[in-house]
Amino acid sequence: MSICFDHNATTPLHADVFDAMRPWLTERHGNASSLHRAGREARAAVEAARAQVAACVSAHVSQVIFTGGGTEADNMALKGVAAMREPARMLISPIEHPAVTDAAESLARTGWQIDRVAVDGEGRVDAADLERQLAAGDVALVSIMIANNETGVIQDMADISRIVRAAGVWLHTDAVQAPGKLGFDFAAGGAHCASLSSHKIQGPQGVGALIVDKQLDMAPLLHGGGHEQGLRSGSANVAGIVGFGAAANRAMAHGQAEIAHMRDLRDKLETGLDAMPGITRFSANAERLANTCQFAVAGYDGEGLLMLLDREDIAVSSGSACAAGTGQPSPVLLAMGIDPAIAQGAIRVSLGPQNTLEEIQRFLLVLGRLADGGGVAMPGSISASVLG
Amino acid sequence: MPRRRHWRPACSTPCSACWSRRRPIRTPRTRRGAPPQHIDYAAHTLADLINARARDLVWTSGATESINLALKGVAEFAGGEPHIVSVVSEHSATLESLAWQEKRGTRVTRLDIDAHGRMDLDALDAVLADGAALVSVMHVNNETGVIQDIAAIGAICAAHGVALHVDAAQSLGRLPIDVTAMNIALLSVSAHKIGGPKGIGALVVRRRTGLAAQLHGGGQQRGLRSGTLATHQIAGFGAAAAHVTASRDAEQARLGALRDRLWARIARLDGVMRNGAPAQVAPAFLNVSVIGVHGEALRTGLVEGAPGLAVSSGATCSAASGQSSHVLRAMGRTPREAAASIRFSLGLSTDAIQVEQAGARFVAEVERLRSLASAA
Repeated sequence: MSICFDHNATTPLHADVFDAMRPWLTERHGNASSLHRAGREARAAVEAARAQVAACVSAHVSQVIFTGGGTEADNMALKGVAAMREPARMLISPIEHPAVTDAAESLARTGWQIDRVAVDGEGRVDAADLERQLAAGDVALVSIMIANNETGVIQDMADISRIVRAAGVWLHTDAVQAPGKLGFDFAAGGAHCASLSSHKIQGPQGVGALIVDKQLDMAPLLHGGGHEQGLRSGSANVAGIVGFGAAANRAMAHGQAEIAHMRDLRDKLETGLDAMPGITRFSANAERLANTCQFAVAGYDGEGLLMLLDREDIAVSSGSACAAGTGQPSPVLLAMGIDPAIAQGAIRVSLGPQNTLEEIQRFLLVLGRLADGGGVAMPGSISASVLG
Repeated sequence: MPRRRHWRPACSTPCSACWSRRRPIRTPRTRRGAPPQHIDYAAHTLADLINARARDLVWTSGATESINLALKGVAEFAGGEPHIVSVVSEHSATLESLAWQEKRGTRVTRLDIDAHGRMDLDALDAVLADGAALVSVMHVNNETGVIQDIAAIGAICAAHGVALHVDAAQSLGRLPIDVTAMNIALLSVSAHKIGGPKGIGALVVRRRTGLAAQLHGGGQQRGLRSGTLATHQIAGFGAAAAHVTASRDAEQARLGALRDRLWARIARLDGVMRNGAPAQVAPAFLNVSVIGVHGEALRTGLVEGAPGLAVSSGATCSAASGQSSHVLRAMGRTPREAAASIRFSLGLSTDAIQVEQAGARFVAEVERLRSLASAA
């Protein structure tokens, strides 16, 4: 039986979510901008989903702008704020998702200065450095993710937003990993805008949202019919949005129980890992998402180990799925000051609510076997044996 | 409740054609290796439909994103103060993108259309003598169904060495498209106009077309469009493309005959004008202006009455704004005529009985409104 331990990359569509989407994929096919009945029904479904997503993150319904996914939401936040003013400075952390890092780098080509706020060895943003960088002036936007997709490290957003707001600067947070794994309260006054993604919470791929505080002045990324309050044009992906709403609703209803379940499994996994030789766990002393554990096994290359586990029908990730295949050690771990040779060996386990104790036990068994047998193997010879 | 008739496939279509293929692949967990196979299948099917290479497709969240990517991507790649030539009757995704770019240093020329909705090819030729980074034209107009002569436009662009972007959201699956023969550098398409799911589109980017990415991140799709691919959506797009490939010519002939029948029924009324020259309008479309009735009253009467007709006035996207059609006004219709316009767009579910009923409903509603007006 296959085991999926890669829920930070994507999650299976939940059956209840699929049921909610189904009518909107078949007989109910109105365009949500049309004025006739089929259109108005589609519009009502989109608005109901907007309320569900808003409730899930304690936002006001008018603050939810649906997008084509988390990447688009991140791009929209950074470029939308940048478009409203002359180039200035933007602060990001060095452990951001590529959607933030690369969007920021694209702005650097248009005259923006992108500076990184230091993180400590556990991957936590250094508040003193953030204050120093803000004090240097001319910062238009700070973007710091609430929870990291690789290490699972949770930032102290209350402290970060207090510092950023005191400097009179806008704050964006990539909150894609938060719902369903961590309570996220937009209204509590942390960030001015936050990115969400549906397929990380058992919703469909291809839909996300940017939660936007109305006082934030931003330009749209996509121009056209003026959908989504003029901030995101394009015919509404009705089925996708309905699915996102249903998934958000589920996350809200079952989140606490699922988090407790995943935390219990993850802790058992880590107890097992700590008993094995040659295991380095990352961010072990920081507050982390309940479902995430990133570690390296001595003597193994992360991607090689991933392939060996895949042969055993166990799906894990080596760092971010988006950076997979590049062969480079995780920039997140390097930013934390981890030795590149160790970072190269990193794999990530990210659990979902459906995972079981039996799966944890089987994983530990397989890993234990590999760790014993592979302690002296070089990355090259492992790839060769896998590919050969 | 009266049965509703769907007259608006120009704004969206039922997803039945793509359903059977989509269902099995979404339910099981996607194994590594499986999604690309489905994406490849979809890419090849769609590419074959327009004579492109599968590897030239960039998946997007829909035609609006494709158009934004094409217009902004070419301008950014060109740098400096690029010149973009387009047409006044374009979709809002094009017009609004260009208006945005214009404020940021792009020079925009908007060519006029004639009373039939067609652009002047000599004017295009003349304006390109100035040089341009891009020409952007929609193949079939979303309001009137008027077809632009893309092959001729492509030839003019090629003669001037200017890249051509075609908004084919309304023509994919309805008219033959050959990006190679028509000299099209960039082509925007959308799944939900051909019976596929909403929220997925594509931009065809042919070789040697300079384009700067507009969404940055994981570097998916050769860095041209980052973001996790919505696999089930792409599979749905591919299945819809396969369906229209098999059925296009017969279906368009059927819709053309139904459209002509609907017009014959409506034309018995006095003071009804057809918008767009019949020979240059795509088969699924009928756009009429009615003299002597209030446009909003007519639309409301048709949509809210029994049996309700799902029709529109103007583009879906601008429906809520209450403005009369910029396309019809550019064709020389008065604001009042443009406001009193109704668009019928026929699709897979439209049949002869519906056409007869819709024609009768339309005639009755116009006569009712006119008698009210004369009584007042």
